[in-house]
Amino acid sequence: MAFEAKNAVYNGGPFQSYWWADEHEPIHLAIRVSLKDLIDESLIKEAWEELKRYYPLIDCIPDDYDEEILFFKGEGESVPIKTERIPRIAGGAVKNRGFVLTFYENTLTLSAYHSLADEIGLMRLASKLLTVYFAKKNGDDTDCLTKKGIRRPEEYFVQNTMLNPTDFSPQAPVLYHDIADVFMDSGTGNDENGITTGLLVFSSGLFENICDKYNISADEMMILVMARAIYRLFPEERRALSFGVMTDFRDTFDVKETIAPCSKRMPLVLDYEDVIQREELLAKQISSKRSMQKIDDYIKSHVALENTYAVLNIRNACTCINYAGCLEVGEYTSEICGVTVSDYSANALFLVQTGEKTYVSMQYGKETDRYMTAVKDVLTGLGIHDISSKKAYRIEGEV
Amino acid sequence: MSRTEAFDGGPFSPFWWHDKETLYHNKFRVTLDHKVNPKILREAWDKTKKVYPLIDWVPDIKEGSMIFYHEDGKNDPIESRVPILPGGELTAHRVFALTYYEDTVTMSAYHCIVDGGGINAIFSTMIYFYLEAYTGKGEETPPVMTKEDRPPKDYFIPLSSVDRGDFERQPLITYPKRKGMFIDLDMCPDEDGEISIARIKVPVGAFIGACKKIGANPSAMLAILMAKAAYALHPDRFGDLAFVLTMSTRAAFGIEESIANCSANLLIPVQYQDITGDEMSKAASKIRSVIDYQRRQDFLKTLTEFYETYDWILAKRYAFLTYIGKLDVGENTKHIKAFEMTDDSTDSMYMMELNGEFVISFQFGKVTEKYMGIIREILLSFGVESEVETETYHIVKDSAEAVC
Repeated sequence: MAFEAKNAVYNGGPFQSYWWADEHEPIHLAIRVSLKDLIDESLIKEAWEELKRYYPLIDCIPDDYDEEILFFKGEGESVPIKTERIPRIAGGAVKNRGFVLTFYENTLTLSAYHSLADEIGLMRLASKLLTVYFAKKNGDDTDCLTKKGIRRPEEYFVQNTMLNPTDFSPQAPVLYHDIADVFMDSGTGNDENGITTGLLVFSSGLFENICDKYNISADEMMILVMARAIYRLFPEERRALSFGVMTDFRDTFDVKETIAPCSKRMPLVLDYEDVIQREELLAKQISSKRSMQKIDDYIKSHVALENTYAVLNIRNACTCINYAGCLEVGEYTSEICGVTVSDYSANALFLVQTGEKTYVSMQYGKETDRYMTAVKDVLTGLGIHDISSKKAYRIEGEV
Repeated sequence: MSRTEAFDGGPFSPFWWHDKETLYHNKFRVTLDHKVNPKILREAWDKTKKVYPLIDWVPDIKEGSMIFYHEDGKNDPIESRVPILPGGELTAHRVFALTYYEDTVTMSAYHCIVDGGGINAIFSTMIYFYLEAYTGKGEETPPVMTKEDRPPKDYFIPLSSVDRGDFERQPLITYPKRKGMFIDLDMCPDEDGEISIARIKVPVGAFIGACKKIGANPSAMLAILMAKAAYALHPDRFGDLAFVLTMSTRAAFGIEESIANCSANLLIPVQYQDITGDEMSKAASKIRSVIDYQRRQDFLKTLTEFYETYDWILAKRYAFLTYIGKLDVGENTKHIKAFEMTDDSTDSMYMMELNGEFVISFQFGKVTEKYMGIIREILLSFGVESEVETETYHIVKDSAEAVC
């Protein structure tokens, strides 16, 4: 610990197990956005400056003290780095900042320690950054962030360990009945030096129509699709499937603006018999299981549990469904041609929507292409045509 | 070497890796009122192996399961001042080691096979047989397991294999507020990596009397003592505390004969105002009700499923508390002069009853002495006089060689 705790700019509250992983994993949570045009170096710098003024903590140095995350003022300042390979987050090359912006040709990557931002938080930063960037590029500065004034950290950095659930009736958690009955594909792990990821892209309109038809949300639809895809890949398998479904706590605690981790995966188990039902019935079953986990009493009970356990991770999930939210850049949506979200988890997909396209990043180790093909087939069967895909590729560890 | 499979013990416990590494295996040691007779001890140990054949098998991991094998060799009791490392050459790779020296007998074992209750059961059988042969007097109905040649599935029943059937899942116990909670960072091995322990003893009658006065049971009393000690030693801290009460689920699940890991970690959150007020009975009733809630079968089944669903580590738990129960082998118990249980922890308090006294162990790393001192004062404030049974000392590491 290089700093004195008393000099902290802000105490970000008790850290979650992400912190230990962040310190050791070779890559970190990242959103990679490809634009139609080459990135303008000076404009992206200006946009980043503006974002830092709106979220000053992203230019601070995070450190841990007595299991809490503290933010300190650092030497120099964080600037966008032109590079294809991501430098180590919170390392010397990025002046120890926990949030890092890099760019190369037409792609920019916003990466962060997972203990400082969840997918939804990081997506919010990416949305704001790109909105400012496009506005500047188009000579339009009517919506620049700083006009809204400087904000206090507690307005945008509240992680769930800082929340004290009150006034709720404690609910029993959803749990496996018997872990031996839950299928897990052991061939989808990551290797030590990086991860493999692939991308599926299809029309948001078509996808929403299907969701509406079955009356389920986008992330619930991905549970349905993955469940079908996995039994397609393992036609002999009859054990149940377990999903870790990212659940956002922001609305329940009225901390909508926070970028800090304020969500967690909750287990959802589907039996083989559930999955082979007609889509309508399967969809109904998924949404009824999920609706229980979305009520305030359940979320508050779960947050209380998160605060009791420094580590609380689902032991066996065939797929983690991470709903990363929407990349919102208003009228400039057409400037975006690709969005990939990645982190170091295995058996995970990340769902991102923009006005026009829906992007699904998939991480299944060396099996990624096979999983993508299976998902594509299921989606096509549901009536989603014109799915383009980016073949699985490796994201090398940070340097 | 010949090796044949004896028993499939089901999913392996992660304690396995820890057992392979640590030099501080779980140990039970008694001091007798006479010099140990090696011949009688060996016969008692052989007889114990007939009651628990599994202790003479060699466990190994195969495809995520714990498989027990018959193997050549024998793990006779070994004369050594320092307890022998289980699982090594000297015990013929058996993971139970029995060591004797002068008037003491020590059993050490792998935690992936037995928990404190399990080692207590096996130890009790062994010491019963020993004292029966030594004194020539046994009990008509022995208070320990003596039935021979049972199939291992009758007594190796880990918590995870208990048939839960249908039950109503219960809300779990959680901390009211994580922020501000504290632990004692000096509860750790010292600079040389040594782990300390000290023990006091108190008359059972006096201790139970103090419990009754405020409406506590022994487990709740341990939590009260520890909480009072924590706030007394940290006068500037007012945040919440949490204790883990390790409790055997054998009675709740009707698996009394199991020697396998059957412990549940019950949570006792404590708030400053609960414990520092004048009305200790209020604190006691609050703590008792949280313990009682967690002792119900539906709750314990929920907790078992929680262990299967999540990898977890508790945040900011101040200490582990365990009320082990009674060491009782009948009339001959009087030949046992002292008892100790040790492991590799630096944040544990154990209590065991022996011959009308509670023996309370403090295993608190660098601050063991400090906690023993303050808890004796707190006991006194409840009207309970204690006596130092064993001054603070360093727990000896298991040895791969006999030391005489």
